[in-house]
Amino acid sequence: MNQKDVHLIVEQGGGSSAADSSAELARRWSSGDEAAFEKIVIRYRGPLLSYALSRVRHLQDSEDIVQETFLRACRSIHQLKDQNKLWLWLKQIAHNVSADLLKRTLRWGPSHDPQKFEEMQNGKTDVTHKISLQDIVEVIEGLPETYRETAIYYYLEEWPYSKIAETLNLEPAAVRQRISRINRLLRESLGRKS
Amino acid sequence: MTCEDYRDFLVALNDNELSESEETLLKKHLQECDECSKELVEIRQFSQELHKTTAPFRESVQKISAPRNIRRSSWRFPAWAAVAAALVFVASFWYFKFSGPDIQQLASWGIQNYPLVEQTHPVTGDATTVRAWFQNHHHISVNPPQRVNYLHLTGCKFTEMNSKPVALLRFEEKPVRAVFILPQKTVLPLQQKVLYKDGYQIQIWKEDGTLYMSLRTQQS
Repeated sequence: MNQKDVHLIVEQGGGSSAADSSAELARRWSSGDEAAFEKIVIRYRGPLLSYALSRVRHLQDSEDIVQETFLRACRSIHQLKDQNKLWLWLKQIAHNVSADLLKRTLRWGPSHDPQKFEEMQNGKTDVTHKISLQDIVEVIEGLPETYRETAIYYYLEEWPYSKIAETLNLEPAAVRQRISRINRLLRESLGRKS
Repeated sequence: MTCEDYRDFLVALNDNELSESEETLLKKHLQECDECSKELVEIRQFSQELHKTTAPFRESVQKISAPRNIRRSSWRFPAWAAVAAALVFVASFWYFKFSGPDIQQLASWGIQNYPLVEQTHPVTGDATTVRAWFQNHHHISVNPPQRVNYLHLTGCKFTEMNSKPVALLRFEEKPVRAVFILPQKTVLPLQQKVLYKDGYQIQIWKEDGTLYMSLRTQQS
C-alpha cells in the first residue's frame, strides 16, 4: 500500500460508495444534510484554494478566503437556484471574497513575498529556475476546464487515481490518460520537458 | 504499440497505478527504448520536485473544514413574509387614516382651497378674538400663537382632513398667506421643516405643543 492509498482511506473514513454528483450533493445540502456539505467541502476546497491562490498570490490569505467562502455559502445556500452550477456559484463567492481582500490589501500595498525578496537580495539568478507553488497553480488554473480539476486533485492534493475517478465519475483508464496529458502540459509550461 | 502509446502509461507506472500485465509490458518496452526510458526519468524527477513544492498547498487544504453550527439565513419571501407585509400595509393605512393629515396632502388641500377661505368666514382681530371665534364656531379649543397678534387675520376656516380637524387661517400681512393649525398627531413624513410645493414655501413649526404650518409664496 503506498502513501496515496493511506490518504484515500483516511479521507473516506473507511470507504464509501460511488461518489455523489455535485448537483445531488448540493440538493442534499440545501435540504440541511450536513454530511453532504462536508463532502462538498472535501471536493471543492482544493479547487477553491487553487483559484484563490491564483488571484491573491498568498497561501495563508487564500486559505482564509476559502474558509470564508464556505461560511458565506453555508449562510446563503438557499440562493443557489441551479444545483448543477454549484462549482460556479462557489467560485463566484470565492471571487467576491478575494476581491474584498484585494481591495483591503491594495491600501497597504501588494502582498510581500519574503522568499522572492530574499532571492532578489541575494542576487539569485533564474538559472536554477526553481518552480514555485505559485507557478504551478497559475499553469493549472490556465488549463482547460476538463483538465484543471484533475490536475488539482492529482498534483496539488495528491489524490489517488481511484478517488479522482470516483469523484469525477470517470473510468480509471480515462483518469490515467488525463493525468498523462496534464503531466506533459505541465512539464512543457514549467520548462521541465526536453 | 508505438512509443507514443507507451508514453501514456509512464506517469501511471511512476505512480504504481498499472496492472501487473500492463507493467510487465511497459517495462519490456523500456528495456528496448532509450527515449521512453529518458522520458520516465524526467517524469520521476518532475514528480519529486512537484511533490516537495506543493506540500504547503496540502497543509493548507487540510486546515479547511466545513463550518459548523452556522445559522443559515432564513431570508426568503415565502407565504408568511407576504402575510406579514400585508399586515404592515394594513396597519400603516390604519395609522395614517386615524393619526391626522399628511403634510403634503394638507398643503395641496390648502393651496387648492385657499381662495375659498375669504369667502367663508372672514375674521379680523387679535389672538383673543380669533380664539373666541374658534371656540364659538367649533367644538375644539385652539391657541393661536402670539405672533397672530401682529398679523391681520383676514380669514380662517375649519375643515377636516382624514376625519381630523384642521384650522386654516389667512393673514393680511404678506408674505404669509395662510397658517394651518395642525392636529397633534399630524404625520410629518419629511425630515426637513421647510418644503416647497406648487410655488409655495411650506414651513412647519411647533409652539406650546401645537403644530403650525404656514404657506408663503415661494418668490418671497
